[in-house]
Amino acid sequence: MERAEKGSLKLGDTTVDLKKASKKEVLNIRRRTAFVFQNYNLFANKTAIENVMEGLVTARKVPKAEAREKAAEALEWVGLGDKTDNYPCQLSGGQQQRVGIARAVVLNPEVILFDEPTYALDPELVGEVLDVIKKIAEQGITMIVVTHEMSFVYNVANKVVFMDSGVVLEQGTPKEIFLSPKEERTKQFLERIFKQDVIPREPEYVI
Amino acid sequence: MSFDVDSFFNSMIQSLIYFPNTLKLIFIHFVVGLILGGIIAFIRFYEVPVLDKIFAAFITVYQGIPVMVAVMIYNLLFLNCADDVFRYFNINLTMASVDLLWVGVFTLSLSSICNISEVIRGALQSVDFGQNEAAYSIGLTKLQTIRRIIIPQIIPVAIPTLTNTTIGLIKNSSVVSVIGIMEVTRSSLIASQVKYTFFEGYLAAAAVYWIFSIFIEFVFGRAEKYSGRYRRAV
Repeated sequence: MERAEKGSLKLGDTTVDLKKASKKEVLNIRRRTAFVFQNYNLFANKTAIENVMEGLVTARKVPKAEAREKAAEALEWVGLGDKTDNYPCQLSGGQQQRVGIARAVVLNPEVILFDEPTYALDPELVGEVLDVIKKIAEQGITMIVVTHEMSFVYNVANKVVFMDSGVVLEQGTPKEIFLSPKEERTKQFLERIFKQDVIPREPEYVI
Repeated sequence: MSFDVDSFFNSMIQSLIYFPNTLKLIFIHFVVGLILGGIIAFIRFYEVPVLDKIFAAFITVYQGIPVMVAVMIYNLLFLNCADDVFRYFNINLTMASVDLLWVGVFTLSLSSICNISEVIRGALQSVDFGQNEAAYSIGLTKLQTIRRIIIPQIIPVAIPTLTNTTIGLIKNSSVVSVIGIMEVTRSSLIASQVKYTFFEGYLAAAAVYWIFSIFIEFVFGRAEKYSGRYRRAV
């Protein structure tokens, strides 16, 4: 969506130079990945099931009947089997985000990117969205999630990357990052998290 | 002041005879305006380099000219220069044989392109841009996104303003009668010349325009309801 200034992207067995990627290459990458947005970005003129079908029918050229079946399955899977014919404006934020996730998952992508998927939701609705993400994790689909939900990261992530002002400061397993951070900035950040008692603190030494 | 009912109806019948001409004036320039105006609106919205600046400048300049003045200019321009142009391109046509109606259509088309492109551009801005990104993310191309996601959403937004603009364009069609095109206004006055019943003549023309405008408003109203189904569900 935004063109990178430099760098390369390795996805599966193909590598693309981002600076001079052609339109076709970009489209190809887009068709192998999926994106879940901060503010859902559902198509307002389409019902929930049409939203999920759109990528299959238009981009992947799947026959309509088959796409409808798959879409219904995906909606059932995120727990919205009874909302298939509702328009986005009839759904709550959490429901809209789950449709957004179904829209991404149904394409069976290699990687799903989440841009703060729970940012615009109230605490009660955050839970239902995180449950769905956890379910995807259990399926073994690679996900890259940008989020402020620290306890969720701690429990679900395989690898955590801590970033500040666009620079990667530290990366490692959740245990490494949360329990024995090396960088000063990371410690400072976690100090605030621990104050909220989100993650049970383990003593460094047990006698 | 006396009111001659017979003359009123005479004028009305006369104007209805030439109503197809008015219809031609309205319909052609509306369709041209919708297609070209739409294309210009999309070019400007997606900021296609160079073209968007050219069209922006054109619209700013052109909207400042009243239709009345424009039609006079084009009429004189065509009368003086068109024959040379036809000869240059070896087109077997002289201006004298061309129906003046087309000069009217040309003038009205240009002004409706400007008006309608602004209406559509306004409607485009009302659609949340994130939906473009969402469409790209599931693998749609730009054109597929415009056709399947954006256009269905701008239609219900554009229709109320478009109704207004269209009725304005219908009324503009009476202005081009100054160069001698036979349409509703001019023909209704012809019947008036017999007994100098100009008041009745103008009133008859007004009635014809009024009925047609009501009809247009009704049709557009239905179209708005139909295309905006997805918004009513709130």
